[in-house]
Amino acid sequence: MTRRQSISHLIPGYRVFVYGQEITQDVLSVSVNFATGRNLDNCQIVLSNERDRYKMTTADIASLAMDGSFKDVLLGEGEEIAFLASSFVEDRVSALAENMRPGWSITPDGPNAPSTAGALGEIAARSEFSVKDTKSLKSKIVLTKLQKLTVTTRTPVQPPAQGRTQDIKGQAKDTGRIQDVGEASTGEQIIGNPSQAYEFFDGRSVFHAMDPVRVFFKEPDPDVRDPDTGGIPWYYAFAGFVSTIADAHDPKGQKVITLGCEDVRKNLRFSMIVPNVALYDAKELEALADKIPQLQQFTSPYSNPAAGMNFTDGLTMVIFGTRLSTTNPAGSAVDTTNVPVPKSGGNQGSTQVTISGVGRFDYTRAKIQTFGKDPSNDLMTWQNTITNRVRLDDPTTMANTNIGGSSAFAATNPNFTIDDVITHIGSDPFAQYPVEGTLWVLLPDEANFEKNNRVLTEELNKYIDNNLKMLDRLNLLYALVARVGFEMYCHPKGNITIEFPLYDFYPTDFVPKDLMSGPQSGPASANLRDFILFDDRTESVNTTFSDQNLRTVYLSTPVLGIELGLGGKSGQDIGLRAQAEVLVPLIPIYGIRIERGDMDGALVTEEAAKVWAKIALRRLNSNAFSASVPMALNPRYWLNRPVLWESCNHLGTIQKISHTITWAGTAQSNVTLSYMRGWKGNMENGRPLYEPIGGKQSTPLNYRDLFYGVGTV
Amino acid sequence: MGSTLPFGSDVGSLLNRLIFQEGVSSANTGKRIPILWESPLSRREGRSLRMAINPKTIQFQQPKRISTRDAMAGKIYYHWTDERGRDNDILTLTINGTTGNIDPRVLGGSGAKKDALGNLAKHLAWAKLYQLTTDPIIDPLTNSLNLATCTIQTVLIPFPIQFEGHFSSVMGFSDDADNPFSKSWSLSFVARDINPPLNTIVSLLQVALVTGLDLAKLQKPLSFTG
Repeated sequence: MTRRQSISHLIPGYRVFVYGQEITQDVLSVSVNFATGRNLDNCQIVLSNERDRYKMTTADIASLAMDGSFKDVLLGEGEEIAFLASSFVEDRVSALAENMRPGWSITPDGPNAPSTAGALGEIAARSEFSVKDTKSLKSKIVLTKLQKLTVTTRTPVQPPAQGRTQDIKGQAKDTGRIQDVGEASTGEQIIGNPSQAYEFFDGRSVFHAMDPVRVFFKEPDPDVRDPDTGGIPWYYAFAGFVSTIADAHDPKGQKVITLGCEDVRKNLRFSMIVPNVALYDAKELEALADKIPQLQQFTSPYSNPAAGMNFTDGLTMVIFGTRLSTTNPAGSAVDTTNVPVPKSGGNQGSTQVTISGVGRFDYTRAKIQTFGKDPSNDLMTWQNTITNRVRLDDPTTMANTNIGGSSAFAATNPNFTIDDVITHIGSDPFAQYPVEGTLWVLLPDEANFEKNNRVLTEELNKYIDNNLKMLDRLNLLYALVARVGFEMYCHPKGNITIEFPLYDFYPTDFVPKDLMSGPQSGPASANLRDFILFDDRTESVNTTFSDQNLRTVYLSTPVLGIELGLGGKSGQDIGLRAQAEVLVPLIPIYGIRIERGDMDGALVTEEAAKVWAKIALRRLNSNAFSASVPMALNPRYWLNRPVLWESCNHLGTIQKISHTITWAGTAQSNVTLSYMRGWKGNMENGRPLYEPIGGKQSTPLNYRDLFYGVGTV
Repeated sequence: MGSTLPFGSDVGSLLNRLIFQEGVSSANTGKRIPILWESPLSRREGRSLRMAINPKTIQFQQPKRISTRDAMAGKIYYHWTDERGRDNDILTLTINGTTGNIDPRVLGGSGAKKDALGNLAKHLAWAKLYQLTTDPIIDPLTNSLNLATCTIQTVLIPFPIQFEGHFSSVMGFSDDADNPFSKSWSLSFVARDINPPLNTIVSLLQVALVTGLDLAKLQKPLSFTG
């Protein structure tokens, strides 16, 4: 039996910016991969490098040398030969040969300047995509990096705090920090002049690792409309940095550069936090202790850097550091209702430790929303707030207040379009719109109560040692998130997003209820279409059921002794019992299948162990039935969102998304669903009740237990 | 020829007048307009080519940039559009022709000698065109693209229109013993740029045809630098 065949017309499109330059016209394909969890999202951009338009050539180097960009560059004998033998100049060897002399300088004031400079000038003038041609993208990229174009460039960033003891001694007089390098607030230059940082080599790409990248996708479905403009919507598809640069030149002459990019959490992986005092040399501490009273407190290896912080303070600290204030560096007031200002004020959270932030994340744009009692803070509001759709007000709402306040873009461009917004934001990856955005957190109501810092404390104190310990911030951040069973992902705007797992929800929780029967209307950012895997776009159905991971009992044990060193409460923990979560309905078929697991070192109450057992068993069993759904490109799909899979009549939570657009080829998305729930015929409040394997949905969880509850510290 | 065309009275009479009375087609075909081939390299080396005999056929082909995927419920057509929303792909010209009579023998008499010189010119044109299709894509002196241009004017497109691009094959030819002095050849050409754009041409053509403009007066003279 065949069904009526439908015909869909899709019109994909993308725009790609690297180092603030739009390279869309040369992009052969672009693919992005998003997933919840610790692993960084990645993006692969395949660029046509025809005639070396993105590669430094001998002519380019010669041109820069002629321009005085490099001083006193002397070519060695071997290099000289290589220089002359390069493909570009091989046809001119004879013309240049007479100018060859040992110790040849390519600068005008070199030892053999008159003849060789003239020859180089001639060479430099003959490259179609030479840096000499200021209209070429190559020229714009190179000259910008060499600061020969007037642009706002990256200001200092903080590298990993790797034992720069010579600096710490001096800074400690003022701040008492145990680690502090590259202080952004003072503008201390720690990475050198950018014009020195970017090296250009003959034969290598003009791109460098850590070049900022932004990718935008166009809505391919011509029937979908931007609710603000009425035009075709565009979406943020990726924000991050270049990590790998692969240059391929095949025998047929095709030249391709492939840029591998990682999301904005990349820097967190390389940035370290030192939770103990061994950074200091004991003798130096002894000598300084009488002069700097603050140092006294570091003499204990068990100082708690997380004292006074709640959960979100901890998240904030890892990204932004502890040197936060209620005003941003530009001096404007911060909306404290919308910003995770650490509760204790002043030196924010800890009076003992100061930890620097990472990169260019904008603390003042951070958002924390609780979900639960307050109807105004529902999931639809959250979805609208963090939409990945490009909006006309983005130039204002995304402007980095740490850098220069809100943008005057709208005022100076009264008739701007979505295309203009994309150009504006994509072209400015350093100043107003760094690809590193901010932190967004969605919490259950009351989860962020005061002093639930045990989550953070336990993570930090696992590493207490008399030796120097360094935690990379990405792993610490993920440990904090995973510790309470939350999900972490990187929003394509460049924002680190942390939400509680949304596997118990319906797609309609993110859209107005009245759109259930008419998904075409309403705000596109909260459109039901965004949460349904439609049959007509699905290319194939791939589901797998395997009982390999299926368990019926999960045991979790509170950890004894974790309190040691944290106040002598360990005696109270002795005798806590293991907690079991049992899926009774499955036992007749599968029997008793026990899995035992504990959270990584931080469960101290029976209640917490019970909650964790529920979460862990649910996660484990959710993998028994999984689905991977290849489909036509849909850039609207979202991580950690419940979706209705139309043809399969299941609800699942999106765990992975990949989008691939190959120009004049394919435009596909692939969605991996987890926490699959199917319909067994039960109804609830007039709608189908979708249930997971072996149990009902909506099992209440008290996250408070995982957060240790109020007043446990 | 007293034919009428199925249009409204005004348009129909105009077209009737243009085509059947004033003879638009004859106005444009009355004079033979040879195709001009050039490239930066050939121009510099004095090898620009005015064809002695225009090709037998020129096929203009421009596919749509569309790809398809099969979905569960049917077919998905992806349209890969430019900034103007057009999904037109690159125009390719497939050109076939013959050398014409290239018999070099002089049979005696002034007329025959003249014919022989004409034959020589046709043979030379073939050789130049062949060489043009083998020229390097990068000009070795300037290191810039050595794109070829061909300027065409036909009855269908009664304005000189220049196609800039590259040959996608070296000229192919066959030496057939059955036709010892007339050889067939073929080549294909990928047009990167069309000046003026074909859309402009056809718009202008429609205006001209409907309003009765003298097409001959709209034509720009062809310039030959070779």
